[in-house]
Amino acid sequence: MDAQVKLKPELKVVKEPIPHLLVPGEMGAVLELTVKDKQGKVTEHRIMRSESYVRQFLELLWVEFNKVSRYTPLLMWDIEGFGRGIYENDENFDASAGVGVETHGIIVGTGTTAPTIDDHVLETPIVHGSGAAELEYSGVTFGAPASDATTSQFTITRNFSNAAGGGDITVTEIGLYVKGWDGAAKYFMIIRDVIAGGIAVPDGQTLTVNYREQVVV
Amino acid sequence: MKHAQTNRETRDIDNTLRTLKYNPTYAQNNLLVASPGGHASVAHIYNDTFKTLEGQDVGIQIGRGNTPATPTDYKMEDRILHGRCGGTGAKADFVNPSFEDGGGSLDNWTPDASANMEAVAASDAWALKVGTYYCGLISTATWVAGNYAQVSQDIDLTNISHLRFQLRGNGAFADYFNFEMYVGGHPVYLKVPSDNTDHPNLLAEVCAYTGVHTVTFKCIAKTGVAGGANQGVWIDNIETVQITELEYGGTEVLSPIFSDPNGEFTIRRYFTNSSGSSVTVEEVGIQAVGEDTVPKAYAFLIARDVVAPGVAVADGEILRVTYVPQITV
Repeated sequence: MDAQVKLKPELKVVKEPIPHLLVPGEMGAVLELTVKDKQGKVTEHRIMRSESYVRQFLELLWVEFNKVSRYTPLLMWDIEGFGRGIYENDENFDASAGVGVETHGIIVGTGTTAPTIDDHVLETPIVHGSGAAELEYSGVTFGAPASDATTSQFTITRNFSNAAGGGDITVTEIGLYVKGWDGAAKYFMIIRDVIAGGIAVPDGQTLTVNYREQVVV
Repeated sequence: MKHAQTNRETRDIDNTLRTLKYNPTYAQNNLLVASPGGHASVAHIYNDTFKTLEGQDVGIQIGRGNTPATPTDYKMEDRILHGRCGGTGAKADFVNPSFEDGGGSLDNWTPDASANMEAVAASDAWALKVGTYYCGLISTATWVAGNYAQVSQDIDLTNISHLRFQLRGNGAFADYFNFEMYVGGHPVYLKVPSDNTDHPNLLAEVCAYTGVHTVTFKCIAKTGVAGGANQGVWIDNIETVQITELEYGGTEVLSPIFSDPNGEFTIRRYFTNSSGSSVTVEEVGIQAVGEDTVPKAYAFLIARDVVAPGVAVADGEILRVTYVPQITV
């Protein structure tokens, strides 16, 4: 009998409307969490407002609005807890991390302490890997800017896979780290969200985190 | 990205590291909001001669528009410009402002030209022309430095703040000429035209003048070259307008303040009314710099708000506009 490979395509128009969780005049982020099994079936899906831009976001924005020079940098606290003299540079706000990179991009953790304006790092980051209590970090991808009648947004996406071979890994905090420049790239947290009750990532499944940065007229 | 000025061209904005030649700090000036006032050049910007990025183009903006904001707004609806000019009451208009009289002519204009140049009513295809004809101040043959062509008209400039007109630098060697405007013997406008480039709605300030003056539009060669005919400028639709301006101070971006759970910083700008008339501000916004790959700098609208009811700024008063980006965890 001849071996046969059959392939049946499925075409489906999918319209993903922009989620409207922010109020007019607001700039913020919508956080979308999706857990899928190995077959791609969605096992959990949540959409919520991101609650917590922290001070490093406003400080980096101020550096860029002012084009702060290398001679008068702004002191900012990086994810390692060191003070860095940050000035304007094309690397500021860079969140485009590759596979396995934990210094920037979307980061997940297990901390549960409520955010404060002065937080500079996730409370308990989850390490990249396939060992116990580890998740495999994909590269960060970006969705192009889009607008509807009231809202403009772009999307930052990262996948986290549980390949530990054990039980669930529950993510309770999510953050966004970006680069800042003091003569070399340093890393700064600009958003930290605590997820009440956490979201479980069963063994063999993947958590997709979308931060949708939005502005609303 | 559509940039904020009236020309709706899209620009390829990038974030590439720059060399020292273009920017002493090496980086792009994307997102620059802090700016000097008025006509001062924005620091570290490389521009061509027609698209100067001034202090007034960057930072907090004001205007008269009242159409509600949408996410796709790319410019202020009716931006109030920097200056001290204003004008109300009856005003004169140019006769034959679009060179259409008599089936295309320079009637009521006094033409003058040197050898190798001419002032002529022409009808070539031109997107900015009004009607069929425009005025060409152009070469007829190989020219030398100092060759010129001009048209003049006497007009009462009382109550007129600006002259508005359309301009094109025409020909492959248009940049070998200067375009100049004079009120009497005083220069009020100077540009170096770019090759085959259209420039709509250019404004020349004339609010310092009252009474009848001779207004001259002149194209003069800076250097000679074997460029042939039809090199120079085209002009059309010369209007007298009454535009009330406010004087733009610098845009300040003050230091951030943090007190858990809040953080904020203030963006602030002062506008002085020295125009002689009251001005009502009905829209405010923020323009930030974006640089393309050339590099050239442009202004992009990043915020726009309609103010209802509008805020009246009387002659002699100062308007303060603040934007305060805030975060709360």
